[in-house]
Amino acid sequence: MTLKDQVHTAFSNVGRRKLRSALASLGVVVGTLTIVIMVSLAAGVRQQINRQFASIGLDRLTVSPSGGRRGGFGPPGGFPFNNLSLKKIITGQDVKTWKGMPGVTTVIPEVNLPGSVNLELKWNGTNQPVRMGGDNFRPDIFQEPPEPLAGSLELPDAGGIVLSLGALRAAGVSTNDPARLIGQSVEAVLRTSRGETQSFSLSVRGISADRSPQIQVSVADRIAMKNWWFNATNILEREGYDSVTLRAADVTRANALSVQLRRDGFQVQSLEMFVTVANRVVTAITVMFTLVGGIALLVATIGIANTMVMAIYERTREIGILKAMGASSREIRQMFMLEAGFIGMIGGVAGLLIGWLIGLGLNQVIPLYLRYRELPARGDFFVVTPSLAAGVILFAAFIGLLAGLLPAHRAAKFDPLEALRHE
Amino acid sequence: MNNFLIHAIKLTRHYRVGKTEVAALSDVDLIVRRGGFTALVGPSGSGKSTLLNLIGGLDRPSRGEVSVDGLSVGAATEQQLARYRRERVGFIFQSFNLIPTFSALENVESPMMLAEVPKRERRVRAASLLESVGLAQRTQHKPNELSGGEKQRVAIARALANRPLLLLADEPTGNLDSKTGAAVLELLCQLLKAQGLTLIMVTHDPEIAARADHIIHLRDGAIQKIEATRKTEAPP
Repeated sequence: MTLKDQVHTAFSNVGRRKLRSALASLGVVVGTLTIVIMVSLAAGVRQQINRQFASIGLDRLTVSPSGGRRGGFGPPGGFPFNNLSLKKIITGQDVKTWKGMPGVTTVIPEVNLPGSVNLELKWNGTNQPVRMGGDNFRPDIFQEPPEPLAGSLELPDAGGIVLSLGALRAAGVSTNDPARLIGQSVEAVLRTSRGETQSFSLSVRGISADRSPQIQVSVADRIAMKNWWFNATNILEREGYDSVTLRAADVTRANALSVQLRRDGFQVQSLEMFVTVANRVVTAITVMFTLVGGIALLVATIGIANTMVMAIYERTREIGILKAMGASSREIRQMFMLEAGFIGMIGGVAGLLIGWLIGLGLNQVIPLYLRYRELPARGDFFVVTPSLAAGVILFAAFIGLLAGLLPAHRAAKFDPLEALRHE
Repeated sequence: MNNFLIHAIKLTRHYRVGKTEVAALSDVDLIVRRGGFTALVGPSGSGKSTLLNLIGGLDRPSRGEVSVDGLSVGAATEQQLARYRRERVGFIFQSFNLIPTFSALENVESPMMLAEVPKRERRVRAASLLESVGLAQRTQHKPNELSGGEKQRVAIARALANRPLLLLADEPTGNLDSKTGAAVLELLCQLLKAQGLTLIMVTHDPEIAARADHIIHLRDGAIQKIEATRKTEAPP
């Protein structure tokens, strides 16, 4: 008997007893359903995690100088002159070297003003306190990347400024038409506690949508501000950059870079570790729930085995006839195994479809709830990957085959004469 | 080529019933030539069916051996026996033994499916076999939609499907009324003549046995006598 004929015969035998086959596969449906929902949820959550982290960039490293600079006593940002406590500073030469390294796409050096700096924005003769904003390259994990209200958020090497919406409001400037402000000249004023001031004239490059009053200026301008604040001329040479954000061509390269830079004595932070831990947690939960589904599938084998035992009892005479016509024991065994496998597979397909539909429904409902709770998350939570679909159907078929193993073996061993006498 | 199709030597078959052993067949020596019609007669329990089943490879001897067309049934492997039944033997049963869920055509096709005959070819052959047994109009009917005589005709067509050497019939007319039985017997005899088959038939009916070339009389598991009918008593 050819395999094609065996498959066809087994399939038509399953189809002949539709209700019974459907009931037998019910356990498989439940088990598959559980597995599909749990694994697709895990895949969705993993995608969420990876997307959230990717929006910050896994290919990104933050390099800081090493040593006891942070913590201890002194003003935030550390004393400017206690160089001895800095074991390793990031010099301009380092930045130049990194820029030339293969696999490094972007190098963004950062200089922070000390936290004690009083910064004011001078506009139309009034001074309003503002904050020096961070760079745009480390947005909040759960937020969209910043969008300019007007102009550009990218600063020129020197002399440019980006104002936040909040800063405009604080300064009492009308925000109706932010575009008209682009190119206007404003002054950022540094004020010491003794009342000395220094103003820096800057040209407006763009308006950000941020609601807190803050301004952003280029690294060169911040170095100038810092030099004035500490009454120095070579603050960069002495202290180096406060941090450098490196962007690698890919995640593997980023990992290699972080190892190398750590060896060079810098502090390196990357998100890779967080992602690894988060994914490990998701995997553990997935495995747990998949086991529950797996147990349901194992229980389902009882249902299928029972159906097969009944079918073989009813068809004893048919088995005898087939044997008299020259069917071998192997063919009889394969025929019943295939039938059991089909019952399992049908259950698997049904479970997959139902699980997939439930996932689709929840994908519609969950964002509504999240919006209601004002939780920022985008994308699907249930993702049925092709490998999950294929895997679950194959597994269900395997469960069917497993259930058919013993009954089919029994059928194959029937004595043809006794089987023919069976009523 | 060996002129003997069936050769049995000291063929013995015991059955165990509880603690006692019952000899269904003991020390039977038999030679059957190729071609022709042999009837097995005898009272019930005489071992007719046992002998037929041993010849057909549905059963194995307890002792002794029967070889058919060179295959020793007792010594053959399971696979060899299955192949032997598939390719060289056609069974016809008293109770027809058609597969109830298959149509007449599918029943005739099924031995060819086991023999891996391509679908198109076996469909054509099954249809022509059904035509040759006079059932051209009944191919799509299920067994329960056919009369007893029609069922036995389907069974005969099925037995012939793989062009066997040997037809083994166990009281093929036993479940039929005498008129239908006579028609089925007539059909068998015609096919026999046309195709040069060897037919061995178990029967109770002396009239049917009289149509055979040889009659083997069995009693208590042993051959009582072998009667040659037509060969010696040529019709006037």
